[in-house]
Amino acid sequence: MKLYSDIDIVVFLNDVKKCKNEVFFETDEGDKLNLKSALSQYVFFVADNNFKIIEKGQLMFEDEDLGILKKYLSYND
Amino acid sequence: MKIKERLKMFGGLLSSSTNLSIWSFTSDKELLFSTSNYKSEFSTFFSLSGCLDYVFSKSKLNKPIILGNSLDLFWIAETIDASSISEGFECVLIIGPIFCSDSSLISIEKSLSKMNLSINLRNEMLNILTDVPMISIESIHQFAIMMHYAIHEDVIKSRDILYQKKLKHDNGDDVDVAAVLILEEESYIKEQIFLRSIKEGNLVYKQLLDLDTYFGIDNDRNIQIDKIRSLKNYMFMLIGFCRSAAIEGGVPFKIAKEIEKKAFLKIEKCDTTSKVYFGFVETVEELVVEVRRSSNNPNISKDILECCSYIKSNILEPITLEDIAHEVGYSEYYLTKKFHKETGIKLIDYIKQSKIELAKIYLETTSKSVQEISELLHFTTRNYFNRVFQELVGMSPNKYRNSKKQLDDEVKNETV
Repeated sequence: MKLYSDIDIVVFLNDVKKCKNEVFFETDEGDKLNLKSALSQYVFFVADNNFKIIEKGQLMFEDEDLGILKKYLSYND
Repeated sequence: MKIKERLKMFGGLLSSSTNLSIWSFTSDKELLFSTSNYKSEFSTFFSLSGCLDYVFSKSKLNKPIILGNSLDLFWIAETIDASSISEGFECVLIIGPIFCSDSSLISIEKSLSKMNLSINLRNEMLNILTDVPMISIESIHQFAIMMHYAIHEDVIKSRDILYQKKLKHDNGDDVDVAAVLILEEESYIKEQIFLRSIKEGNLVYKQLLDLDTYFGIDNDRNIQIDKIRSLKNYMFMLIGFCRSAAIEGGVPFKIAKEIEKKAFLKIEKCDTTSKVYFGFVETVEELVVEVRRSSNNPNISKDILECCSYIKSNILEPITLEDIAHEVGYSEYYLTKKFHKETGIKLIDYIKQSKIELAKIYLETTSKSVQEISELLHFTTRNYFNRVFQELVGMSPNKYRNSKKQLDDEVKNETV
């Protein structure tokens, strides 16, 4: 699912930490990041800062964590 | 000098001499200023690792605190009181990020390789991380002390420095930042013991040759070139240290230099990390053989040399004469007689000497107290440790530590 492009990354990633299951972000270049790992979180930030990946990539997560993540998902509009 | 001038001077000294960045955050967690080349990246790393929240969760930091994250990046922070500056608001001064050892960056490089990232993204991450300076724990303490002085004009000791209590690792474990730093400190001590064993031609060096835990042995031919390059560079540096240790151990300069040159040529041609590693192992073996050859005393038997190796490799254990005798297959009485006859010193004195040699390394390279070192080396009391140290070195442990520190400071001042 797509994310809003203007999310506060630090707040978003802190919310990801609260999810019960793994949360992945896949860029349009095929880089797959496990957003619950610290190193992947840093890569995610650097990637968006330099290559604006958020607007082009997809977020993947379990339904159980939808409650935490739905405010960041652009399909809600 | 006013606080602002002192801080400006301190920041200038830091960035010009060490590439260390200095930062300041307001109590609203807003970034006031930073000298870093990667402001947004490192302030986000600091924030994501929970360090920023941790700093502001403390009511006021009157002493510097060392914070860390799960990638072994460290920062030093301290509060500047609202009354100290004309703007009239409280803020936090931060130095960092800092790596404490090469192995941290190498381990991150390894993790990034496993993530199969696109080349652009991987290179961008590495560019950012290679901007982080590598600084020893001892120097981190010194910078923390200097930062405190720049803020308060007050002199503190290393023992006054605070540590972040909990740090969350990716595996979910909570660890203490002080414990992480101690591990780094231990690897430095291990390196010192490793070099000393080369100097002595002691076979214990083989047990310390576990560099694969830091670098990993990877036989994959498609390995990234820059990973092999950084490993080769690290090995060249280590071989240089080993060569110096061998020369101190009695190997003629020309021979040691020849071994080093041969190793450089051989390692440079290697195309996998495992070949680089084994090239290094071979070189160390060659140097140790030369040390043993140059110091070979025909009067000392193989059993007594083995006995010495056993003592050195178990020096941190509560070893007894009975254990050593059992190890070499002699009775305690026969071994002590034989040892004295061949080496000219009593076995018990040799053990004491070996312990004091290690104590000197701890005193020179760590901030452990004399009591802690005495306990680590299994001396029955601190007084007894002091007495043995005084007898063998000619001064007390504290005096030895101070004299070494003074010498280091003089060398640093001369370099400046």
